[in-house]
Amino acid sequence: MRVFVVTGHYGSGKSEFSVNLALVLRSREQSVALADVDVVNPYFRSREQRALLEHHGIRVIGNTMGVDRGVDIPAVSADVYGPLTDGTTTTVIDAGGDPVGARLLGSFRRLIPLNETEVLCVVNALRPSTRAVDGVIEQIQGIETASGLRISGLVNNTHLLEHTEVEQVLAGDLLCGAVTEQTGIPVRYVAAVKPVIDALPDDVAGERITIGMHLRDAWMLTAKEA
Amino acid sequence: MEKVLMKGNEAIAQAAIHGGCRYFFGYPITPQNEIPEYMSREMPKVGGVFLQAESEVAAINMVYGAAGAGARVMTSSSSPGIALKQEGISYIVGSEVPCVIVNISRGGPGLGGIQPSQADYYQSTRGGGNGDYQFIVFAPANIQEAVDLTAEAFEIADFYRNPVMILGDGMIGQMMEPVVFHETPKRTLEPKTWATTGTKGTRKPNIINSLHLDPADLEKHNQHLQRKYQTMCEKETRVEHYQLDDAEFVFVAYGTSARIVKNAIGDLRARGIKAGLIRPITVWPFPHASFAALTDRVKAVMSVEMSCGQMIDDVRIATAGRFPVGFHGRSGGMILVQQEVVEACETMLKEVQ
Amino acid sequence: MARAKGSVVFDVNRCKGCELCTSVCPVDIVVMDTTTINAKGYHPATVNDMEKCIACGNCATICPDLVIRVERIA
Repeated sequence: MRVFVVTGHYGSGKSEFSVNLALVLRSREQSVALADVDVVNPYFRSREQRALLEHHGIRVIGNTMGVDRGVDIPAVSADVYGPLTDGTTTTVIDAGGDPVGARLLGSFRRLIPLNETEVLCVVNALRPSTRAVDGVIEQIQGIETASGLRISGLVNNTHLLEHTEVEQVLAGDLLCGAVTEQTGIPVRYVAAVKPVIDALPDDVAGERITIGMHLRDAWMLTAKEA
Repeated sequence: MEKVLMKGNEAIAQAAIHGGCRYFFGYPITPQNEIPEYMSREMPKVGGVFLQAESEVAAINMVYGAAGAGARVMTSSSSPGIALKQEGISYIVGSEVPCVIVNISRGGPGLGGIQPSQADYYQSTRGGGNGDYQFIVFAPANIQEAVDLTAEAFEIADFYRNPVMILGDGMIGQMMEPVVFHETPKRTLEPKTWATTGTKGTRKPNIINSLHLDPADLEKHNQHLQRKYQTMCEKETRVEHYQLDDAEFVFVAYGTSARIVKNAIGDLRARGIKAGLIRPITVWPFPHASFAALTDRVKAVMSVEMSCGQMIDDVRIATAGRFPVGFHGRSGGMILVQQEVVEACETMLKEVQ
Repeated sequence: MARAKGSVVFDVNRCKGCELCTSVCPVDIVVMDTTTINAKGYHPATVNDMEKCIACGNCATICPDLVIRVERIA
């Protein structure tokens, strides 16, 4: 697979997953690009990690202004078309959350090479509206309708940020399994921070992606105290 | 109770519903858009009303009307939008009706930028509107605190018949953290017999009004309001003392700044500098008592804000000349850098020694 | 009455490829020119059969970026 479209519920962890996926792919491929087409979120966008990603030789495509932080203008750069259609660049597309964010994918739906594209839906079972199967399926249907693409794989990204425990990822695994039963969409990846990934039993579905929390600054990690 | 992962704005909106809010009037502005978005979806589900007003001025006046009719009502905006609401807020205070106002502040002045800042301290605590007035201003530093305070704000607003403000910044609005919705502490509340609920011919009509043309009357009214504020100062001040007992250097910071300062304190203590923090949870009433309690062990006090220095005025008043007062800040939407906070402390300590 | 005829001019480098114009042409002659990329990096809109243009002006009206000018002939 060359193109990875990352969709999912608002707040499921798409951007963090996209950045980490791009880094993993870069360890396997020479030419990797991350296109951040999220026009919904004003902060915490994958393109804010440009320095980190470019340091690893990953090309970052953001908005037409060339400004990564502090601009909430829905102007996705046309540069995204290049990696999509060049047949060689491994491309991660970080879409905006919910059907609203996925709608933008419709504008280049015809350019997406479906036979070499994975359309992922990221699921965090600890977000209020995706705690049950119905909620996840509603998301999937909404995203498919808005984008005109079919979801080909789930990402079990169940987390409470740095407070995540193994049990929660397992609960997410159960939830995603139930979604697979109803929709036929398989779980492609399971993502978590290192201590949790290392502690997962073998039968948890999905390729393991270890998450480094790049989008969270150090001072945000003391949420336990006031 | 189960924890869920929520973005600050969504959590504040849900907390309002949890606290009994059934009317929301708002307007879009980054970085608080998720609040009206959330309310537009969830209010109808609980039998409440959501309206996107034609402006922030219209929204605050809708709040005034609904509050006058006895409803639990909220509006939210960000810095320039809150500036637009100032007259309405003055009227609401003058008429003694309750409501909750959320400010997710951003860089200013003017249209400024969308990144977080804390430059609305004067606007919130000195009153941007006309007349002698105050309202309780909560400054949460994390999302759980934002949830707890927002839910309780409705109870407190009803108790005093006065607005309560939740002063957040863009970070609080946009960050995601695990939260739990606890039982809200309840107060004994008088029934709203003053509200315009319809007389049904059984009583005289109630009038919600801030107009008192007779100056003697208006003075009496102001004295009544001042007594309310005095009670709030005595009973509603909330503050956190962090590593203050043996501190030689005292930081004063609220909201997102306080979190970065706590991390800086970790670095400073590792270098042998005994730093501590006074974290106002209410920026009004300001925790003056915490400063009165500081001993001569303290060599310096520093206000750390994401602004050009506004809370520092209250810090100067509270320290009453007993300690040198310094300032460190970033403005325009730039977030404080932990290392810069550490260096500011070290520099000031050298200067005062 | 003779049918109006039109001539459509596109300011090619203003076009951002939104495709709105292609959705409102009553004679279906507005298309995206996939053989070229404009200065902004998009496939610009164009007309593929100018003879059929009835000068209704829908495309010009809907364009958010004032890319299109329609001239009525006869």
